Amino acid sequence: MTLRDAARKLLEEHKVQGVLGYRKGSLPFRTRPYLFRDPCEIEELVFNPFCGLNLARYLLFLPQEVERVAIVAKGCDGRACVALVRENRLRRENLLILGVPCPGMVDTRKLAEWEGLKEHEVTLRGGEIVVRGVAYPLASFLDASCRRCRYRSPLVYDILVESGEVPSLPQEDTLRELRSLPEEKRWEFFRKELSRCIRCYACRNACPMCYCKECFAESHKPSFLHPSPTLRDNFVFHIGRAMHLAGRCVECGACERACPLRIPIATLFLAVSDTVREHFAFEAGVDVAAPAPFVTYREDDPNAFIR
Amino acid sequence: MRLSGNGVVVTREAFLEWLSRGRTFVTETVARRFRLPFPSVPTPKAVLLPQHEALYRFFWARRTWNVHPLPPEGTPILLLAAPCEVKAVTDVLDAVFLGNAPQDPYYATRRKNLILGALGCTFFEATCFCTRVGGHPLSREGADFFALPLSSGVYFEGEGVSGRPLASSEKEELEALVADLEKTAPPPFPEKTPEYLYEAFGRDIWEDIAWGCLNCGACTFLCPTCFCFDLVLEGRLRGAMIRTWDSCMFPKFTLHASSHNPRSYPMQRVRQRILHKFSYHPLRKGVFGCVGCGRCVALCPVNWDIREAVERVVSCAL
Amino acid sequence: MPCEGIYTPCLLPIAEIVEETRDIKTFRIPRPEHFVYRPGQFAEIFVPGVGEAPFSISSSPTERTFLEFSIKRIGSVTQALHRLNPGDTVGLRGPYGNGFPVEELLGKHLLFVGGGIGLAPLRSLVNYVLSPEHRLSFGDVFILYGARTPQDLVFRWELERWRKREDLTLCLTVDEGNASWEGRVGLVPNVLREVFPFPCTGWVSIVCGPPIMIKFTIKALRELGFAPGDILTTLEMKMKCGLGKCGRCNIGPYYVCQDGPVFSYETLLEMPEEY
Repeated sequence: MTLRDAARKLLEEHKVQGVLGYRKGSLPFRTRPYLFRDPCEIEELVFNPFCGLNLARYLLFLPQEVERVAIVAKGCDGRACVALVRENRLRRENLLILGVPCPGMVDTRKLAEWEGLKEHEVTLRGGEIVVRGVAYPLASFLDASCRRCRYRSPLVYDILVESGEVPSLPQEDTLRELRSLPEEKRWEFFRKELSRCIRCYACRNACPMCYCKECFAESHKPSFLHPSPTLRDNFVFHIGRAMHLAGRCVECGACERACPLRIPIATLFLAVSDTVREHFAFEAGVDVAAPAPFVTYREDDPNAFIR
Repeated sequence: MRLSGNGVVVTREAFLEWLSRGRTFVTETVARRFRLPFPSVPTPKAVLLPQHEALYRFFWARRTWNVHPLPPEGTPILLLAAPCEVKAVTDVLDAVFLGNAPQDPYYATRRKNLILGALGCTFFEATCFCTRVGGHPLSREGADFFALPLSSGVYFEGEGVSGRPLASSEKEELEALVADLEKTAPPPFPEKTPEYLYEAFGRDIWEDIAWGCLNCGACTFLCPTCFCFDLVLEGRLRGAMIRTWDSCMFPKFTLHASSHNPRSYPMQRVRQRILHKFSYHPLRKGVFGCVGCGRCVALCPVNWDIREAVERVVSCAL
Repeated sequence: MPCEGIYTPCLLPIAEIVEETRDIKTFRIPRPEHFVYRPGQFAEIFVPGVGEAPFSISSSPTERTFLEFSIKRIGSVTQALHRLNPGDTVGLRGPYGNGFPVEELLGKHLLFVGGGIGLAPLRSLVNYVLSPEHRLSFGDVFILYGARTPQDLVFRWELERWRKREDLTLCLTVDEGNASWEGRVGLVPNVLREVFPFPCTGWVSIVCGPPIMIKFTIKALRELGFAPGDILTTLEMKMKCGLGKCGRCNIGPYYVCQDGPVFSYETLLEMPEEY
């Protein structure tokens, strides 16, 4: 069954009151999130390599009348759904995960190098992307988080859509180069990038796991950091957020795609996720039942200070 | 004021040499279109209203509190911007910081020290909509000089650069360009748009229009006409009063100390943004508070398009 | 420039503090020479090390030597203010706002309706009108003031002073009385209907108080026959610069810090309902 058929059927049979999916955007190579309510709107549902936004972000912002919702989920979106259920933000029975195997999301900045590129001039063919008749390996066009993705297909789903040929691209270790640098060079990398940050909070607002009603960055009493984007305050914000997301980040890369200044901010969160994976053998959103390392209390915790 | 046709043509090298004589910056729009050897700023307001600046210092010393205002500073710089970005400075920022008494001395000093040049546009990008809000890609209005790249050099209107008069082929090129832009220009918004939007305040459509917006500050921070700022005191026994960019998209923007918040819902803040730019500012000052540069459309993480929002509200009214 | 820059406060010592109620205090500071203001205007008070906040000036401009601010303890700045003592330093920036349209009120009879801390900005105009140099320029004065409980009434000594005057009518009420309260009990809008039976020609009403009280008082005033242009009120919005620059305090196209905080009900009707 195609994605559209599955979504339409769900609405027609009133299994859900809405389908969270993507629609064509107002610009080439952009899509936008949309809550489909009527089966006849499903005509406009799309799924293509420009659907980088993590729709799970909207699961906590649905209109009241939508009790049960279906969500078009890539692997990472599916992980976010599971993580939100795990954190008791959502009821599993109110969520219908419409899984789509994901070929990886194309970094639209790469396409900007071709002037006046039209949408029909870009096609995907197996593990390749064809731009104006010339084929390139798809992997070189993907977002950083997609190049290292481990779960291209959602692990937990209610319906898995067949989407034809989805290339199984090798998983790259995109942080290897950064990790191999000496400490001063790594510091310089982050210092240079974070000094550009203007603290618009697009990264935070695009993240499905950042749902606090009042973010620590905006807290006045107590005040943890100042609104001015000095290097010090920028570090406090991003590192603080990385700590809050440790063990919760689903490695979708929505933060980096959202940044208007194209700061490679996902680098920080992906590095933290790798550390959690290494030291706690834990990945967020993969197993609904698995206890999350930083929010689970055990009487026999290995660390004495917390017992 | 469009180009008069009475300018001169200079070589690209001469133009670049002239620009290199002082501290020159280009906006990101210009940097994206042309390879110019000057540092770029993401938005023109960054040189007039810095992201954060200290206004005065305070400290406790010799058993008393002291306050030292910091003097306004500005070094001469030149900013090469697109005509829409120049319009943003003259129509909105100047009106607020200079036209609305009392004048802001920090802005005024930087403004006095700024040479603002317009680099004309030869085509409309998918995100451009300056002609919808009363602008034009070849407008010289408000700029200290105007330049336009031609196939054989740079057309220049202004002082300080000497060149040769336009050749007839160049005149034809300009005319063809003007005609082409006329054909492809997005049409202006309906005349009574500010009034229609104002009357639509209480309608039901806003929840639907606002859905999808993340309420981050990306659009407002990069927008050349957005000027909202916050005054924050940093420090206890010594510190400064800092002015930083603020955004009407943030939930705490209008939060009272009593915890009453007239714009606590995301929809209300999105509505405020649209109305402020396309209704309140034009009703107050006679010009749109948006210059159609299209940054917000290009940079929005969810492709929320303010043009579509305005069209939808206006079409409800019509 | 009075304080060296439009954003810089002048530092002044607190001369006196009066505890009005359990959470309202009136602060008196010396009035700088350059500080010329109209009733209804406000100023930004700066607490070193804490922050700044806008407060309406509750003393009349006819008081040449001091300024008074009646401040309710709500947030971090007001909390810090309430912990200060006479002699401590605060900063002053202002005056800002449009103030009451005193020229248009000349010769009119004035009905003041205040609720709770809302009496503070009204007091500035009341004492201006009652001052010897201005009293004869205005007609009758009727003051209706109410609070939730007798302990919440502010300016008790001022109310006594007003009650003793023969050239005004003062009516007090509380929402809930207590054992020692012998006065009227009732919500301000209801009491208004009872005590103001005059035809309202030649009267202008000035209302200030919590938003809900303003809403119902205006309703009652309309029933009594007041035209929208003859009802004035002051609005509150979160403010920072006070100068019409930071863009925060707008209600529709109106900036509360420059076009307000005093607005007529006529203008309120044109505004989007967002306050």
